Amino acid sequence: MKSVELEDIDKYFPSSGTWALIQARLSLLPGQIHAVVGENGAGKTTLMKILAGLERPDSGRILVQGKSVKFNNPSDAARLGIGMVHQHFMTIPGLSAAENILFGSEPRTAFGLLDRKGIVRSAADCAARYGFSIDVTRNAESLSVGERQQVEILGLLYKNCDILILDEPTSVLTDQEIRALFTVLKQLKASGKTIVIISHKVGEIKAIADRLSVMKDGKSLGEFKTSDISSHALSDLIMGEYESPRKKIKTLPSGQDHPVLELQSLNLYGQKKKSSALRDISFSVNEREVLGVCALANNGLKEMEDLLAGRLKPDSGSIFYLGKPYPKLRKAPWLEGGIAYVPSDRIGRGSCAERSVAENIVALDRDYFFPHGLLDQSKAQARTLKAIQVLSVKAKPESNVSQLSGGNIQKMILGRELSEPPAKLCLLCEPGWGLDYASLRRTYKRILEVRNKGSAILLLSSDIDEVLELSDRIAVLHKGSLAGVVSNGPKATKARLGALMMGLNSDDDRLTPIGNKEHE
Amino acid sequence: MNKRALGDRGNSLVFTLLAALFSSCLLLLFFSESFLDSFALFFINPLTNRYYLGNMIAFMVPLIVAGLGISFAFESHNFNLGGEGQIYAGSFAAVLAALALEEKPVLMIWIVSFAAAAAAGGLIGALSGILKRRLAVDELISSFLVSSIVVLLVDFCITGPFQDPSSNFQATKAIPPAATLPKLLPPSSLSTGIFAALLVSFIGKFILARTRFGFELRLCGANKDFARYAGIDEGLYALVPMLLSGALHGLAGALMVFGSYGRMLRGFSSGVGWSAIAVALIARNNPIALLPAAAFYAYLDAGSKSVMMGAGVSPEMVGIIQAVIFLFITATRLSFFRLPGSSLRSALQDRAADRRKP
Repeated sequence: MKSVELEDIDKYFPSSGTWALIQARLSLLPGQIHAVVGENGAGKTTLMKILAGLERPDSGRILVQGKSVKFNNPSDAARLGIGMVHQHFMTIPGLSAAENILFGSEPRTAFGLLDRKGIVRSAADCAARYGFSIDVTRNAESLSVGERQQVEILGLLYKNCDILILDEPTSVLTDQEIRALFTVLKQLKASGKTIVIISHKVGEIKAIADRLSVMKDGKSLGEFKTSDISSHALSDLIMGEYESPRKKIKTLPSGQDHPVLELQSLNLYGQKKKSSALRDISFSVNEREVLGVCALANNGLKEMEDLLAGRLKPDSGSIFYLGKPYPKLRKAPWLEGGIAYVPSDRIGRGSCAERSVAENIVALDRDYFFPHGLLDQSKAQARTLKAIQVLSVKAKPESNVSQLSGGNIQKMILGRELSEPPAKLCLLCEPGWGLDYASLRRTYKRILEVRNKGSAILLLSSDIDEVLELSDRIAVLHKGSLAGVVSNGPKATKARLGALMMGLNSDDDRLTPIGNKEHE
Repeated sequence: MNKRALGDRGNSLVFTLLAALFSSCLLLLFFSESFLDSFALFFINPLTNRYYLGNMIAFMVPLIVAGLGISFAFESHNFNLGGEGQIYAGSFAAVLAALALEEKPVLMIWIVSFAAAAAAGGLIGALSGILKRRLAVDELISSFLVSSIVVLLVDFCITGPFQDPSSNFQATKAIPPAATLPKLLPPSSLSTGIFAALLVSFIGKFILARTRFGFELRLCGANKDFARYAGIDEGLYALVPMLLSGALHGLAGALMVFGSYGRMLRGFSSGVGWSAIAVALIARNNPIALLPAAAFYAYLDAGSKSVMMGAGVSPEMVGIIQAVIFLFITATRLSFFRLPGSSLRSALQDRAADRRKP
């Protein structure tokens, strides 16, 4: 068991001209769960990357057991038992869970070949020792997000890491998976491991962490015992007071009978299985309405997104946008007939990492930015600045998207899709992904503003809180079918939606018929 | 792009070029009778001897034009390995057109012949694009195989129905002398075709950097999923860049015939397609950088030819030197530059990932 200290760490990124860390400090006590909290871009991830040997500090010291150490690469850190699970998982598809866990230190047979049985045995032993219930023979592709995360954690445990750093571990997980993760983390703590989680969710921090450090603008604001600080005080410390935007913004009545998006008995068959991925889905989204669709992972949310993104074709049924067949190629949100679309895959689909922020905006409306076929720089600059301002993205128009933090990329996408004038239809998938409270508050406020201007908003989210926060009506998907549509009101509780998502449906809680007429 | 990445890239490019030069020296040292003589012949003669200098610059012409063809394909994440066949077919089409229009004005011969060359090369390139779009056939494989067939077909034509009966060469009849491009450095084969190559590379730069077409093309190359999300028909960019790439290869072949050879000789352009890939890799698909890259490649080529003629180094040895240079250029490029869309390696990784997707 080791104690770790980071002292006066400075880190400057010349490419973006920003100080990511200024005299940042952190001390970890052995056998405790330590949370590093702060807004997007506060320097949490950079500080942890320095501790894991992925970045080198410009100045400052790293002390392990009181001895000053230098990490040139992640292996140096791993040798001292420090390992990190990244926000974007790095499991290799095509390899089994066991092969992923043992990657780089696989047992060999006498002839130097891979010992396949040995790999499975070692991985299974490791999983059993730490109380993970994962089948290590499965292919990494078939694992859920939560299971992939377990594979990554097991990989570190197999290499005898006793200080585990998890970068926003809950941001991609469903409620159930989060509970499972917390159980695992508590077990690991009991077995003497030190755990650092990066987070900006106050509730989670209160639930799991023993101690916490707060960061803001690259500086350390202090370290606290979690029991010494109230949720309120903590959120104040991170970003100032939080208020539900729904309570602040008066929502105008929805435009009933003015459907913007209509889905008519959509069916989509599964890949190999006989079951269907989506079964007989019919609903419509009206003007000035947010329809939230929530589901657990692998229940059809992803397929619904891909249908509306034009990546999948329905096997039967039809989709209409403003009474016309749904367009094959999307137009930019600010154009006539355009659609705002915030995809759940923000890096692969929602942005192009190798291009500048400006190019990521120019790409959407080439008719406007390329008059006579040639790029109009001033138009591009003006539109980019406008999109950046919507949610105050910390970036310059010419910086590469790959240099932005995850939260900033999400803000760039949201700003671009929700800028003025808003689209008649907004397809928002997990819009709160990776955002800190301040940004989340601004995002939700913006979404409701757009709604009040008459847009129809289809919100696909696995976050029940988000759905309850924003929706006028809530549809629940379970195993590809609509389990029900309920109006958002006192009756729409977390427990009731949770039950629907799990496929539990009691008779006395009969749901209102599926359709768009129902409103309270 | 941050400074460090630029530095790395610059360093590894210098390393590549030095390694290529150094290995050439080493081979000469071992296999030539007099190292100093060979050294002078290899490195200095191409620059001082009017004949070699002219030929060297003449060789840059197809390297630049075909290299631009490769750049268009690579930038859009398409893999055109069929350059050999496209160049060969393009030059054959140009020769046929020129022979058919023998009595017509020169300008008309030029326009029709170059258009025919571009069309022939473009059709062959587009075939792979269509196969990819319709049947999901990997263009890397199909372009290579189609090109191999085309080479054999053209060989058959040259040595059969279209062979010049008055000559013992395996060649077509010569194109009308008036239609050949004016020579610049006689007795070398350098012609005004070099100006056409320069013009083409500047047009290529303009298209890629400034136009909507170039923007969409590069975006599809960088991230297909995002391009689709932004409302770009990415299927179009599996087809059009391959067509353009083939057309530029065809044009490169026609420039060789009209600038240097004056007729279609069997196997006259053999290897140019592969060399163009090396040049595009050195230039990182930048049309302007193609000029120094082609100059470097042509310089090494001229050096090895000069050594072969002057110092009794066997043609096989020269072939080995060129192969080593090619190996260095592709190998270091593939291991150092991992920029999506512009390097083979990352592209091959993407390919593997694509295949695994359901």
